[in-house]
Amino acid sequence: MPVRVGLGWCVMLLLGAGPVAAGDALHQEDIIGKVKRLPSAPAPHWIWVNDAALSSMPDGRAMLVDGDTGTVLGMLGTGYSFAALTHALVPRGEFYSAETYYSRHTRGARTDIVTIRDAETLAVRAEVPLPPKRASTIPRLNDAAITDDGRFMAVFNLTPATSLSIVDVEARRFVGEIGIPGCSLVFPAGPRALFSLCFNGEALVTELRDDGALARQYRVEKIFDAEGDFIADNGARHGDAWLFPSLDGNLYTLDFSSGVLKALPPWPLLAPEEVRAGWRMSGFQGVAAHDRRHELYFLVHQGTPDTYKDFGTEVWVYELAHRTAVRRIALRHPAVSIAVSADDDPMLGAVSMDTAELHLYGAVTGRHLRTVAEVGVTSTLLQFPWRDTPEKTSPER
Amino acid sequence: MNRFDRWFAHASRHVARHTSRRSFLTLLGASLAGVSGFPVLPVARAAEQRGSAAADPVQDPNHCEYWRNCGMDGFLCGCCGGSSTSCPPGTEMAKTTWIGTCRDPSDGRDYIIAYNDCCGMSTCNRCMCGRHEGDRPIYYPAKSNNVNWCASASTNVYHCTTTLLLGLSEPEPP
Repeated sequence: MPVRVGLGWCVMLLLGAGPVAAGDALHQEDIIGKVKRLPSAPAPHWIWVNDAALSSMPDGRAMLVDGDTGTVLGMLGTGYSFAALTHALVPRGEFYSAETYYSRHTRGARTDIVTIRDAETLAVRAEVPLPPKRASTIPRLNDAAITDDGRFMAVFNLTPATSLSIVDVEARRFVGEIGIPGCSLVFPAGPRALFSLCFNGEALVTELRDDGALARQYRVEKIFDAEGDFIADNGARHGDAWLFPSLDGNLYTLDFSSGVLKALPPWPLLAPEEVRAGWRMSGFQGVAAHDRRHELYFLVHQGTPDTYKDFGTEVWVYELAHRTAVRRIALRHPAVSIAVSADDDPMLGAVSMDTAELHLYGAVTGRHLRTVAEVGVTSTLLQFPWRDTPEKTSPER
Repeated sequence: MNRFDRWFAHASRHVARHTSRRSFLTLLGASLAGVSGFPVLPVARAAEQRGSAAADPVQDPNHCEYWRNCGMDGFLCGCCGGSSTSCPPGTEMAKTTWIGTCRDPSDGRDYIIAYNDCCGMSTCNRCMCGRHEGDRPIYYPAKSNNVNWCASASTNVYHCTTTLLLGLSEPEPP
């Protein structure tokens, strides 16, 4: 018996496998230790499902799913009170995540970091330590953000004083902390600008210098009435603007195409009879936009004002240029968050936190394509990882 | 207290002054409002069907309909080894809290209730109770039930929430 075959026997016995004749075309010897890599170019319908694991919060995770097949491609462990991944629009073959860990799982020394992972291997490339102040919330995509040029990541802190931790992801360096008094969350608004929403109906813009230090801050006043028709804390990026639905079914636009953040007049998404019927915004990420189609996807349900974060049952689609409702998609299962892929054959994802299911639809046809089960424990947010570069078009006025 | 803390304390008092009694997520002095709302509806609603078998759920601390729970969004500590007024063994009560003004139907009077979180163990995951009246988005932390306030404990690992009675609420102005 040749030596090589003998070694093969030994390995198979160690693995508990049955004897296999060498050279059997149907039973090739396996190589121990293989680990898959992802293709270097992600498909447009790959989608991350973020699991906050609310029943066991130290065990946050994220799962990458191929929406075209329903196959799970990989998974990450993302620590305590995980919110969402942060993707650079400038491809660097990596993505980012603000994470919190304790040395004894739920106690001991707290470590907050930005973890930088390789997009092909999902392995950790680097960690950037942060002040241990990262906000713990029911997840929102904008618990952290990255500037439009992919250089600086901002992590929302709440101690309960609110601030941003700024990280130079290129230099792998924590730059500093910038206070955002009275305001929370963080949204990118250009290569060196971010804004936060404030409890008094304002937005606070934070502009960075090229080294990441604070250049200036200014407030945009009286955008909405926080005690009346308040806007959602989650919005849809569309070109150089962010779109936020409101309690009473209006759409508020924060436009930064001029380089300065401005609030445009809101306009109604809901007809009066729809308002009377109780149709309302929904979920933790209840809007998405498709840039080239100029479409807004709006997750809705029927309920009283206090239900504004409840699961949505339908997605209503609007053509933004003409401010017209163009179609409705009845969801197979109520969802807490939606996302739309950026390609020309867009896919709509909807995640059901209660059943840990990802439901995928044709965004244009509205047809249910597939359901992916077991995507975490309490999965709350979806992200198509590589969106198109934002168009340099100003939003509809 | 740094300048951000001072600002937030000021903002909190402002919110407290301008929040109606019926909007229960008012604030307690310089401590801060917020919530440990993990998870939220409709998981909360499903769990509300559980609880003890007391004849009147409005007077049962382990039932979501308990009158003191008017501002609750979290797991009831009475179902986790503690009680409505004490944390379970081995956990730590958070120093900051959000408060509510709840009416006890047995005497028709309004009381100030503090919702102190218990922290340091993984999520209790029993007797979820979410009552969202007056809730606001995260950018309004003083009224948001999607913010975890174990931030003030030695770990911000959320476990469950208590309901401490602080006293009678002030009478409504004439």
